[in-house]
Amino acid sequence: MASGDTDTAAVFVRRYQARVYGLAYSIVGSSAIAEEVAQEAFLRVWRHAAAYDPRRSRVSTWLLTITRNLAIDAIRLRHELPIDPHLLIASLTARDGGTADTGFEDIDLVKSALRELPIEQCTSIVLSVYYGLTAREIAEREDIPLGTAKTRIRRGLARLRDMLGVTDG
Amino acid sequence: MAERPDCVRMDQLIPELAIGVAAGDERARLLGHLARCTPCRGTLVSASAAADSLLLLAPEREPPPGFETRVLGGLTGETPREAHGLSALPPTSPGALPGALPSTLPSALPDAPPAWPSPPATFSAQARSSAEAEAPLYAEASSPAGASPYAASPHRVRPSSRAGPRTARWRRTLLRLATTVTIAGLVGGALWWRTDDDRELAAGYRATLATAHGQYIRAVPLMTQSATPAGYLIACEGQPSWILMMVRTGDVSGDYAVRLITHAGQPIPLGTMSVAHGQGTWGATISTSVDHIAAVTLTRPSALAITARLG
Repeated sequence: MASGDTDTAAVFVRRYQARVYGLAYSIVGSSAIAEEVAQEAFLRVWRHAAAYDPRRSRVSTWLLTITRNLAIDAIRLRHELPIDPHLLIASLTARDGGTADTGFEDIDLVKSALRELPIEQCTSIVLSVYYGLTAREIAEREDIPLGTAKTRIRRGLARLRDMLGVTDG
Repeated sequence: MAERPDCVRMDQLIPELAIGVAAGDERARLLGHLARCTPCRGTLVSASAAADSLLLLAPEREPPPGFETRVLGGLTGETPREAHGLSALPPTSPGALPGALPSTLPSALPDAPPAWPSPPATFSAQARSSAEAEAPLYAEASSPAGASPYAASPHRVRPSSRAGPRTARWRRTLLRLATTVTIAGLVGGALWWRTDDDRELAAGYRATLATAHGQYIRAVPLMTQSATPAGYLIACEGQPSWILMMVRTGDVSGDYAVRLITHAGQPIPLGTMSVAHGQGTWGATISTSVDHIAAVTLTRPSALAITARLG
């Protein structure tokens, strides 16, 4: 991509389009908007490929993070969550979710780690990671004190780090 | 990691920064601290890695046909990309740490402009006359440049000595109009005959709705998370309103939690629906107006969810 080679770009798009579109759809819940988000994500990766630093993250992570941010921008315009978080959690942790042959070896481990979290921590993590809700917004939505929302995010992410064996860089 | 008092305080904020949802003031304070604290930067990197890994869990989904072509066309600038609001957004910082991306979001962006400009509602006489001047009718289209279109075209309607070019144009227009009306009449007749069954069905539905005294009835498909049809939901507005669901999907057995989601995003638990060997029927009265329902969801641990979207 960084070389500006369109053949490489075609291979790249083919490789990641289902994952990028799937993530966008999971967040925005609309095929038309998901397609716009996915298109824009690829375009931004193409434009900024030279700035990508492989030491910081994998390219899939970089691409999905851009997709996630664009999708959150899109739902912020609508001022509503298009998909019930509990529905999204069920989808993310489903054992028959059809992600077995994706080539992303960590998926089962991440899925199992998320499943192990207490539901209130899991909900707060999903609301913030997938919908970009701040601790304050989660507190209002779940009708809990701000401190509780922050604690749920902090403890949930800490447990995920432990379960995934992610060590401090 | 967090050993100094400063680090202990900042360690509480790192998860929100890693996810990208830290509040502005806390974010600024934490970034200032991170600039001079290596251990906390390490904590941020590992927290970001954990948060980012969650994005891998979204189920893959094939985009609509032609997606790849449209993306590549947009990349190379060969095909005009559809105009939409997203391209107007500020650039996402692609070089930054993924989890630490700014979460500043525009509070209001202009609506997405249409892909193609709509024609003006009114077409002024001046504009019409210049459009006519620039776009002569079919017979004149092949006129050589610089020559009078009427003199040059072998197919033109010969103007009489008293009728000017405008009259000839009107005659041709009327002729085409008459032909169009005749063809439309023939097609309409054929269509009327071919859609006889459909009209009968529609009349049946009208009678049903009339019998229901205009009560609001809706029927929408139930779909699994992988976009497979899984049955139907019927909702009826009344006193009370009710919903009825018929699930028909694979060979799945188990109890599904039924939840109604309002347009305001409020989830309302409705009960439990049992599905045996992929089949089940379940109904309940609801305290919400059908008009206020965004979706009805069926969820079961470790299974694909089923959803009916009502708008």
